[in-house]
Amino acid sequence: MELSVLERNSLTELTNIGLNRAATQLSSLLNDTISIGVPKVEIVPVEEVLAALAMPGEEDVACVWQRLNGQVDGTAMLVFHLDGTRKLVNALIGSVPILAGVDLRAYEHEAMTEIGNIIISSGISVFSDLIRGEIELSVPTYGEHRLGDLIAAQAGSHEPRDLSVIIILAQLRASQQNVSGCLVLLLSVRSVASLMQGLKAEMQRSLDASVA
Amino acid sequence: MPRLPERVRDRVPIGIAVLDGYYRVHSWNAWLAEKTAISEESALGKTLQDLFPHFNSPRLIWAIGQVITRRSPQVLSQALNQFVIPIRTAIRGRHGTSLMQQQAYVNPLAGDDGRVYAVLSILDVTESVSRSSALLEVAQKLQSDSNRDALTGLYNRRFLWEWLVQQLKLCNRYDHSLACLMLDIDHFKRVNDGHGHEGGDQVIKDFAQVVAAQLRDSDVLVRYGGEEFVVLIPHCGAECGIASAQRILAAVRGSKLGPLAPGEVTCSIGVACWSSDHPSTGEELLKRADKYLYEAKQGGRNAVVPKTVRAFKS
Repeated sequence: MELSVLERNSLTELTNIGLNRAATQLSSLLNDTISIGVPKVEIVPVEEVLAALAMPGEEDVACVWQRLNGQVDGTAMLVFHLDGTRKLVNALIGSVPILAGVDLRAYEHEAMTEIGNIIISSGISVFSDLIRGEIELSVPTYGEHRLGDLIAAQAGSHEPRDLSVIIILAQLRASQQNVSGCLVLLLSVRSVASLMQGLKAEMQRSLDASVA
Repeated sequence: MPRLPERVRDRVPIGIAVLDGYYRVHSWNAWLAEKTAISEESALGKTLQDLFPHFNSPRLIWAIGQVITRRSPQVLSQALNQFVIPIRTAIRGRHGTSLMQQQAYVNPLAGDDGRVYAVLSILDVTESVSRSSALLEVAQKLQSDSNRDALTGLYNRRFLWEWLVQQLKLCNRYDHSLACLMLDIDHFKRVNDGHGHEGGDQVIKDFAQVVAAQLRDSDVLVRYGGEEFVVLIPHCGAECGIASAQRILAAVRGSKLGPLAPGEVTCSIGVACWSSDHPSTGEELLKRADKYLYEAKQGGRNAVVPKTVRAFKS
């Protein structure tokens, strides 16, 4: 789906608000200044996700995902390179060595699940406001998988033509470390249409308000 | 108010509380009553702040708000929160804490009255955190031990290679220089022959201390093997490297080392320098320092080679 310049700017501004809410929460939780840069937003067909993310599909990535239900249905996935995840967690809670096969990285996974949960909830809250309706989220899950497999698993039995993907690319900065991540919303075409309708209505309201 | 079947609610080995948008308790299970010593009758209608006067968890407050206004489930990890409500536990933590370590979830629950409530579930993870902390300490100690020489406590060759690879990347990126000094105790065999291995070991330990005292905290001193040592000095060019080597040489000569009086132990030092004008690999850098050390030995020992920056450049 092609976004007009105005639509893209409005969507960028809205997601920026959501991500800033997440950054405020994370800063308070972690006693550190966490900032999330202005995101880059795109809507692409499911077949073009890997190319749009510039991430090799066969490489393992770290991902926190939550299922969405209600007026918007699909999956919200927060994706980081594995190196980025380690860099982020190490910066925030210190490094975790691996001892004789005993994987202490469960500690990292827990932390990432919560960080992802905060970012996804804050991002999705902006979309609930946009459609003036409820979007129910499932409990977050953390996994390290190949990005291609992850997208295929989340797409499930849906035909690619029934799905559309909103990609929100942003950079998170914590403890002088920059970590790039992206929020991938794998949604039904109907959900994206509903969001776009909400976006247009919001743009019209802003326009009316400025004229008045 | 939503009702959980009490037989289920009071038999599960986790804490379950139901809270409204004002953080007031509407349900408080047997596990929570037992662990907090607050009965359900005492808890009902009270806020978490009323029940725990020192309660201060902006994260939990935000999470409850998200659940009630957005129906967005929240997970609160032990890794980032340690605990959500303060509960004393019989197991004393390794870091002096006696508060239960918790993993918590907050989920939305639709009430019969049409309102949304927050179900707070708390898992006690104190024991697994204690086990992980113990494993972490062992892992960190093992990692540290594997990088140290047992006799002197200095870094060993294994650490040297790991450190040098990273340091040369930084030198390359930020255009910094790095001096590499290779040191060898002169006529060490004679020390061993005259004073036994115990005397020899003492000389090596004292030598390490004398050299370390001449270095900055950011410098790296490595026992390379036997009586051979390597000093790596970041942000230090040829002139600084030669001056440091001369200082070490004088300090060793003027110190009592083990059973030997000042002046009885000397050393020879080869100096090489990495700079962006003459980049090299770590192996090449050490090889150059070793070559100069050999020249110092051939030249009569108790010396630094090259002696001057000009000689260094030539």
